[in-house]
Amino acid sequence: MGIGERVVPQFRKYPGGGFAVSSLEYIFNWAQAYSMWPVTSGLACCALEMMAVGGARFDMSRFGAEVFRPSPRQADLLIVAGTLTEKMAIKLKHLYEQMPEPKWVISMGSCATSGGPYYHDCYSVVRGVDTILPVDVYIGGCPPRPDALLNGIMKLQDKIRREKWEDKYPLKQIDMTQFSESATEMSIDRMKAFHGDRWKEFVHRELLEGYDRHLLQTQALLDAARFGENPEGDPPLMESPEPESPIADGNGPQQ
Amino acid sequence: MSEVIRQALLDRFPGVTFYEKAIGLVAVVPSDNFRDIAEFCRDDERLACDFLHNYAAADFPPDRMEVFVMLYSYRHGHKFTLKTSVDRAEPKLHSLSAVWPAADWYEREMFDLFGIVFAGHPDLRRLFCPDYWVGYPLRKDYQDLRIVPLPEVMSE
Amino acid sequence: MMIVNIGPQHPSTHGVMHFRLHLDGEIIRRVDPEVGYLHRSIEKISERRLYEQVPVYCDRVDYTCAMTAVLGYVLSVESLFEKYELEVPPRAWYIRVIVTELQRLANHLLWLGTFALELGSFTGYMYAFREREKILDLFESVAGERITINYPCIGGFQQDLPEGWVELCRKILSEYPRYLDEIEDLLTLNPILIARCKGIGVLNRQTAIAYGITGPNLRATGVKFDLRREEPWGPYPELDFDIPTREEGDVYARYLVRLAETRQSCRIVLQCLDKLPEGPVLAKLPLKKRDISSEFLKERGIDAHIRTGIPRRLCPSPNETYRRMEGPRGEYGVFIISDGSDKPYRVRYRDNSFSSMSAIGAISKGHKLADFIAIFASLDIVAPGLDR
Repeated sequence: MGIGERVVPQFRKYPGGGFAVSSLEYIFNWAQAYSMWPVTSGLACCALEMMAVGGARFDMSRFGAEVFRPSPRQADLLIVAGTLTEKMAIKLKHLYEQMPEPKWVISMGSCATSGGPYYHDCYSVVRGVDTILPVDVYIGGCPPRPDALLNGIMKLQDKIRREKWEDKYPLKQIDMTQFSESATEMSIDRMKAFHGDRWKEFVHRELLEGYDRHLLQTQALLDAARFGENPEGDPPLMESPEPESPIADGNGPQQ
Repeated sequence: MSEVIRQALLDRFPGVTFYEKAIGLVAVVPSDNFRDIAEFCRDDERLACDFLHNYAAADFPPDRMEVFVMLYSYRHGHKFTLKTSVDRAEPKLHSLSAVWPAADWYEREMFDLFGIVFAGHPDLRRLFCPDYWVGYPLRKDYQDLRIVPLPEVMSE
Repeated sequence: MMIVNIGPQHPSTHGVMHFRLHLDGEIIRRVDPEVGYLHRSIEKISERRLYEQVPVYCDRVDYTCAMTAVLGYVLSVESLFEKYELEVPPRAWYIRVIVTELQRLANHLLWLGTFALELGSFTGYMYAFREREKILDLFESVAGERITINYPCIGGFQQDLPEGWVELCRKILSEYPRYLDEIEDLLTLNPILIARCKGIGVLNRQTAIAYGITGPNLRATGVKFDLRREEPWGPYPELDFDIPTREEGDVYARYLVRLAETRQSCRIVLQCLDKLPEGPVLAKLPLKKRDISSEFLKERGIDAHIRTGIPRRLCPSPNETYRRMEGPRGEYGVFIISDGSDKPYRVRYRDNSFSSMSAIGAISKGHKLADFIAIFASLDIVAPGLDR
């Protein structure tokens, strides 16, 4: 399970343990920040600028991030470069779930940040990758110059070096399973029973909602339209996360 | 050149009308023998259109949709367009994928975006939109809650 | 029969496309492409924008060759008007040719870089991108953007070339053949490349024509057809250039055709730079006043007798047009139906990636899995032209 979860909380019990923790933090953060390996997740035009960053003029290898891994299992940085469409959204989510911890996400370009020039009048674009993934750094531009991507990577490096272990591994454990309701846990029979003939449309949305409990603005509207005649009652437009989180319970992880 | 095309088509299919616009020569054909006319365009000596270079549809509410087939001949160097109208309530047309293999994906795209059903197509399913999509996006009366309309500006 | 997914996220950055290969051992029996992962509904958006606002989206239809993509749309819109209504000045035509050929050069260098990368040559990728950066510098100095450039506009260009651009362009292009020789030294007679590319992915003439494939893919099968000679625009009839063709139709032939085309593009640009005339670069557009009804103003609480500056718009009369041009990938054309208002009624972008993709099943049947990557890389298919 790792040093962070098992060993670090023990350090703090002893006097001077905090000093050891912060030294280890410094070393681990330094190592992670300057050797980030990105996944080749170039979706659209911004991918060309990402390729140019890997080229010889805007050299990314001097920042340690040159090794683009095709497989997400060997990477720790997901640069979402380009427009995210609904069809691609599930695959991107799978990609993110396949990456091992610790992982970070950079949303590159205006399409990934907010839908970009396709915000209006477009039926197939997801308006912002932060509706399905937690983003660490946003880079604006259409497409951003390779220098802007390097600026974003440097900001991410600063952010990683500022990270504290106690934020990532608190003394009370957070049950992370509530955040990743992936396809394996969802059963098709349950979907059919709940939604009837149009169950296929909701399979996709369930996957999207798995990580982040706050609904998309447009998805909320869709819900309001579709669930109008729901016998179990209309769901609220914005779900508040607190009542469901085990932290508020004070009971620890549910086994 | 357009005389040869007109004559060749009128000889065999007398019901075809023509007009000329910026696109060149357009032959308006009925949708019933659409496939026969297309085969004729490919096989006839004077036309010899072996290259289908564009195949598009447009929606004209409330009654019809128009389908444009743009053809070119490498042998003679001429090009023209075939145009048909299909009924908007139940759009049906015979597939041209046996005549030109290029038509295959164009017809899938038209089915996906307009809902025109092509009879005799080997594999008619949605191309761009995901499988669960309801509705045909490029129609003029397509309603979708996903769409955020561009706000109207005063100068419009 | 095993099904292997070459999934939407794959290391060859041609965009997001999905293939399901049905394999029998290593031999491909069937290819099922699944597209639509980059379907951004540009055609639907274009119906709700003014004619002058659509070029912003046009360069995303084919972002590797944005100048030609915008130019294709602009040429179509200009063909909606009569000759006397809209006359583009000669300097603008020459700059259009220069910009198109430079974009062809940049696109083929990008193709070369990714082609080399997918066959395993990281050095070829670095060399090609080094050359491409110089051309993107030229674009940035003229339009402000490297990739999704919105420089050509209806009627010419909004701004002229900056000072010193012509000399810089000449300098870069006169050094280009030497750098191309360097890349060719590395790749063309390389035994690994020849073993992986010769005889692979053979596309014969009839198949290419039947599937609607144009451009360098078609010229590699022996058909000497180039829209710059068939339906020329601007000063192309007076320029002196060859159309490289090969007979074999395999991956190696496509590679050689594209490299030869870059040399010809270089030649064309140097000729145009010598012949560039002086003068304005923007035509006088036939703009029409849009009448705003008094109900419209009253609904919005605006006094009807006070009119702020209402801009005049481009409103072509009802017409249909399809103007095609030779883009770096092949035939690129925009089919526009206008209905007399200031927004197009239907815009349809025709790109060669769509036709090549529909043919990839037929081309790669019977080859091995590793050959599929070489075939796919050589056809120069990009996702935005496919999905729009």
